[in-house]
Amino acid sequence: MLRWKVKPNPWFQELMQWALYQTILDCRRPRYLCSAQIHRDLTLSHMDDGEVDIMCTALLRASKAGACFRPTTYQFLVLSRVLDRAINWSNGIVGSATDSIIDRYFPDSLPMTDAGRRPVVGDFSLMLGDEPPLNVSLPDEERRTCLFVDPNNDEDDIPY
Amino acid sequence: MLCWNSKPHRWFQDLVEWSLYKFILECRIPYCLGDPPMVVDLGLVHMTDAELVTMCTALLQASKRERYYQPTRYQFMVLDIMLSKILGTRRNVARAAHGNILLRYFPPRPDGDFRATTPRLSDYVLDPVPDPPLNYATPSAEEVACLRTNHLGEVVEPPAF
Repeated sequence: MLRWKVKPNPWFQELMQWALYQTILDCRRPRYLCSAQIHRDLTLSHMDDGEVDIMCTALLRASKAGACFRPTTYQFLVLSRVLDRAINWSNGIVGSATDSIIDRYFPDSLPMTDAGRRPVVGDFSLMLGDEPPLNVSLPDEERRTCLFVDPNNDEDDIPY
Repeated sequence: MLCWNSKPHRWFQDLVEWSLYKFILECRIPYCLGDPPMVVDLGLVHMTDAELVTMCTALLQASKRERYYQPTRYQFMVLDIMLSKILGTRRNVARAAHGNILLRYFPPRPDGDFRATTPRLSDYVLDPVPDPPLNYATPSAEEVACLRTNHLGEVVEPPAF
């Protein structure tokens, strides 16, 4: 699995893996269907679609492994963009969901721009990491808080 | 491979296989995203998303084999709906692309709407068949004829990005 700030609950792992699959598949679409390039969609100006494919495939494999793998800062940036793209496709999710998930699962003080640099070779593989701290949130409660509660609005978008 | 009206060219097989992957993945959308079932969106009222995954997986596996496999009429309907959905959201293929492909590769549509019927067990498997007729179109000409030609038979250029 990927080494997040806390141990991921299954809903989040499923969401992240599905988002990675979507991105990989979109990078591999037939050339005549290329209406826009995925790296532009993800605002990753220093990568091409082939590189996004390779990086996301490495992240997906690591995510499915039994051991814990630590993404690099650049990979966390890509994960945040991939997640945001997947969430934006869904109708019932609040607009703040990506930020809520980043707060909960991504390292603190993560730079959210690619800082004008290309990824380095080390950004296309993952190193073994230590186990993340336990996640004390209940999965359903965490899912509801991240996906359906806008912190700027007291009312949930979807009542549960 | 799937047994179409004529032997499929690579560009068409790539399109079908990618579309099947896309459909399978979209049927497996995580529960937490809470979107309505894909079959509702497609009007396949007698199927579940899991059944659609099973059917599309069977079609994808058959499409990747060396031998030819014959889709059933129900499976052709699902392939028809799938291509309509995939091509209908693309700004860089002609609006007539789906219709052009139906004319070239699909058998004539049967009377009635299969969406209102329950698929049978045999609609989840495919049987091997002899090779389809040769395809006399060159791949690049066929691609243009299918994807870049409007309903008047004029070649249209995709918008510049």
